[in-house]
Amino acid sequence: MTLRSSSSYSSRAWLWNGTRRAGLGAALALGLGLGCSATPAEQVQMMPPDLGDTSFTGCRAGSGSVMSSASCTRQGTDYQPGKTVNPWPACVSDGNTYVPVNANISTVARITAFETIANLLWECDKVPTPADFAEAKVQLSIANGLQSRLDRREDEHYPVFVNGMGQTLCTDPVQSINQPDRCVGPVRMVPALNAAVMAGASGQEPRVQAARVEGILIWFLYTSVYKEAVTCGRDKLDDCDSSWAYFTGGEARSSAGKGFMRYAKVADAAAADRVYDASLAVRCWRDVDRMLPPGNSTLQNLAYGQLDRALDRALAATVIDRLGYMKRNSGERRAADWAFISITAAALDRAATARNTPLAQTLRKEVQKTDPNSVNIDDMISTLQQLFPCS
Amino acid sequence: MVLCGRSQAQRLAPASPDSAPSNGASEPTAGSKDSVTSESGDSTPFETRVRASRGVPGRANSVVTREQLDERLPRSAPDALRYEPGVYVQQTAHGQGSAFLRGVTGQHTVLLYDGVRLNNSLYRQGPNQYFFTIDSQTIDQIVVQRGSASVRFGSDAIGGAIEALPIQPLAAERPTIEKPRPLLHGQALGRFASADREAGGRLRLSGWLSPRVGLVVGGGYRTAGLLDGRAVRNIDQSVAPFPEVPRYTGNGLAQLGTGFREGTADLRLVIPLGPATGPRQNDQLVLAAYQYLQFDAPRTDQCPPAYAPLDECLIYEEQFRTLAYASLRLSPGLRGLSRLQTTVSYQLQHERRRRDRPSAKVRERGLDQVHTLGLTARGESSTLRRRWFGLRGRYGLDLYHDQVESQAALDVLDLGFTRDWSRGQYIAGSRYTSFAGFAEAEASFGRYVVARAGGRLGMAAAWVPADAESATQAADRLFVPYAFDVGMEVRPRGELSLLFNLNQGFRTPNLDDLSSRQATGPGFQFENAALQPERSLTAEAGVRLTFSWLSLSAWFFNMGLHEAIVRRPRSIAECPRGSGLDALGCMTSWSRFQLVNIGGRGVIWGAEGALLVHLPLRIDLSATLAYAYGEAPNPTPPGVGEVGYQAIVPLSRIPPLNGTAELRLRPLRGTVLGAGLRWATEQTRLAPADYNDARIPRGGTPGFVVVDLRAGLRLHDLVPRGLLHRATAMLVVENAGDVAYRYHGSSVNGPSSSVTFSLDIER
Repeated sequence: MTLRSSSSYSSRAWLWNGTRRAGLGAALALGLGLGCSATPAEQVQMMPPDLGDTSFTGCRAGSGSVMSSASCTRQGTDYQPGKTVNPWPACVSDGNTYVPVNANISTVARITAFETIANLLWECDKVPTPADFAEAKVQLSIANGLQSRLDRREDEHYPVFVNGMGQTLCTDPVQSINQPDRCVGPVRMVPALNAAVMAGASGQEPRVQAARVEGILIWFLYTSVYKEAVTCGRDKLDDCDSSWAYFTGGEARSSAGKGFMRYAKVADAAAADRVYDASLAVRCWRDVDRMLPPGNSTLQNLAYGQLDRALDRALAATVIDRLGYMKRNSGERRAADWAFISITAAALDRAATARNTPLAQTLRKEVQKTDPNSVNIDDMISTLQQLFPCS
Repeated sequence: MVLCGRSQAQRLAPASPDSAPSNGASEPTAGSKDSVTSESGDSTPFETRVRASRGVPGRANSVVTREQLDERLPRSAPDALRYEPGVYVQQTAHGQGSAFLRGVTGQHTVLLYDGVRLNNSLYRQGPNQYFFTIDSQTIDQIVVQRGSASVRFGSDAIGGAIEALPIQPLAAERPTIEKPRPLLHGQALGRFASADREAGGRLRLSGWLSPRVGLVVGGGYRTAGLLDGRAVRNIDQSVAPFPEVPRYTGNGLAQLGTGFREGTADLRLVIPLGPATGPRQNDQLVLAAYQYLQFDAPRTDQCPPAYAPLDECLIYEEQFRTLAYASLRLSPGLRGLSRLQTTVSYQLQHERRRRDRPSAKVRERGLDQVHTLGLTARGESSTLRRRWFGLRGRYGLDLYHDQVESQAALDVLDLGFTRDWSRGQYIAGSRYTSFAGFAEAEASFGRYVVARAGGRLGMAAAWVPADAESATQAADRLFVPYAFDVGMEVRPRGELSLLFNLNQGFRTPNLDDLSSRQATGPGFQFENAALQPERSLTAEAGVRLTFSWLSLSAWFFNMGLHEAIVRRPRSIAECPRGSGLDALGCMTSWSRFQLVNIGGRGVIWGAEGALLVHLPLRIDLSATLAYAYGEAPNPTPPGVGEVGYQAIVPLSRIPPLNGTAELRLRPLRGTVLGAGLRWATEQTRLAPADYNDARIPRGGTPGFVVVDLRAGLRLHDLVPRGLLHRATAMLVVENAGDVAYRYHGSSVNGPSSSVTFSLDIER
């Protein structure tokens, strides 16, 4: 495959090879080429694996700043695989393994793309080049790929936003801006993602832009796990598989995981386990109750509640872990950490507000800071631990 | 039909060896008996029209005449088939239409224009848009041949064939050497349709420049906007009240992903080679070129795709067809070769796509072209008669060669670069060649029995270059297809014919099967270079009853499908490797498919009927009825311990029970009134792949009953004779009841209550 400028694309060329003139984009393309050969002095000489290597699970270890939730007591109605918990009946999840509704889960490929982008932009302390951002853009843009799902991602915690025919208005670029909380993907995530990739491809603060991309994608995964669980109960059973895969990347509980699960495991393995349990709870409910719309609202609500709490804790642990890094880092690394944290911590605002409004206010105040050096990291960690102590 | 004068039978009738004998009558529809009329409006016999058609004798066929086209005012060539018995027209897009014959469509039916095969090696599974790329204003007749017919039409004729026959200069107006005065008619046509704000016009010049040169030259343009059509509801209401496809503008009536622009041009030169009268009067050389240009036609189910942003759109920026041919048509008068037609043709099918994704600030582009060279020869013997026995034969040779160009790219708009992929939907440089010969014999035993038999033998070769980057393997395949037909017609009385046929069809895998990677309605489809030809065997029985006041035909068929090529769901692990967008797109798609030959036997059986009654007071009443039931072995093997697995499943997009009725009357001189009724029951028998197809509402497609009303004036009958050669004004009220309806498998809902007006003046 070849890469070339397209800014003067002629829509009426007979065959486009040879018919397109070099345009303004040539300058950028030249820049991309130069960027490819540059090796910034601070770049750590730790080579990421081949993009196609899906066994790669990241370079980052936990920062040690997270108070493990291993000792947390589970809620009495939480589903626990293999254990008899009222009102959960025996179900397909009791073997402690997620049994897919449909063995082919396309979400797995999207999480693989996430890992590919991670390798390109931020894993192993990488300083991405403009060409890396360009490649990441291509990976994002795959048909039915990550960005296609960001385009349509809705936060199911907010009321539906539909037209008279019951069709979502979040896909309407004009209407969706009226409901930014519900239409979080197209209104909030996508513009921020596009801006970060654009800035990165222009060579501006590459670590920071990469961290923004990272934060937005983690936010997307966090939102998607819950969304797919909800649509599993509303639209089609296969979405339970997507919910599970948006967290695990299709990996087993014992693995290092991919995507969000990898981050959560590094931060707090117990928190990751609780999300896995909750995915099994959702699957258990849909095993027992396969109706559309669902017939067992008790299990449905229990499963959603368990998943919601687990996800909040897992994301909070991920944020706290990154705060630990931020504490040690300086310069662009610290700014990058803050870029990631300010996005992912903001994603917790709804859950935080629901749990404790004053503490949520405190968290919000910190998140809104633009200067990473002005952030009270210890206070923020403490606030998050108080808000999300257990799953 | 009275309105527009002459049809093919009265134009310069080519001495076509494909012409059916009068007893190979076709199905009647309203306006068909007197569809061939003289200038004064006098009818010529029904059989005259059929004689000029190319239907296979003794088989189920029907004809749409120019007059019917002018009365019904169809939007397109496929739309013109909606009242034909056994034809069900699906629309994936507003600027597209694909006719189902006996439960199949697309690459399982053959399309022809004036004997030139339009099917090429890029015809894909399922419906396609290619018959739409025939300008309906150039058509004099459309002949619909139902049932497997590969002996006559070669590969792809599993469900049948559809042939459009072009408008010719009027034979009756041909000047003579003695009176060589040129006679040309200028025609201007304007048309408006309210449902999609369609507006267009056409100019045509036709006639004779001299005794030796006949001419038809024309050109047209039209533009259509968003199509108004009420939304059908899901049959399964448990999840959502309405399908995701199509989406609507704010007024809830205009369908997104509709509209297009279209330009056409045609030139036909007819050079008579014989005298104006006598046995060689139809000897001629035809030089013809037809250009169809369609711009900016969105694919409705992808504009936007289900659940995607409303501004995401797959649009066919350019959909062009260039068809040029030279045809020599002779009547040597020899016993073994009474008529001969040889045609050399060139076609270019050009398709340029663009998928806009403004939110992601990217644009996907694709371009596919196939150049097709064709050489055909058709011969026909005279009838050998020995007392009560008669024998005649037809035979022919076909040679077609395709050369493919294909590209794909991703434009990253905000970063200003383009990623060219190593391959497009197809592999550039792929080639496909087919060559075959066929022969048919027809023996008549007295007046009561006609026996028919035929056979075809050929070869087809496909070459696909390898592409390492996309992990596309080279394919070098050779197929040796064959087919046989036998049939018998018994005529116990002159009005009654009983017909029995056993017909084979086949389809050799084409380049689309062997090498394409594409997003289809149900999901991502990737290639299978190991496919074998699929075959069909149709057993059919028909009855025809023809009186002066009534025509009735009924057919019952059972079509067995062997080695049928169907979509088998594939796992992500089975997706093509490689780094191209297509390989990644396969993995991220909701569902993935690969074409496979399924073992076992699929079957489509059904029935078709047509009735035409001529009532007093010049009232015609007609009706059609069609039903098909299709099933085949499940292409997906059972999962381990799978509960509820179905070993036999419905075939995809089989039309439901459907039919039409038409009433036509001419109360006063120069007037015509009519009403049409189209109906279909709901279709809830869905193939596994249909459940992932956004074109099909949840639970299936609801049934419908739609009424169209027509009124027309034949203005040249109302003004002093000679002032106008021909002038008609026609008004059609489509879907008078403003019903929400959708033809099964379509992305587009049918037009809401609307009017179409046409004014056609010729001097």
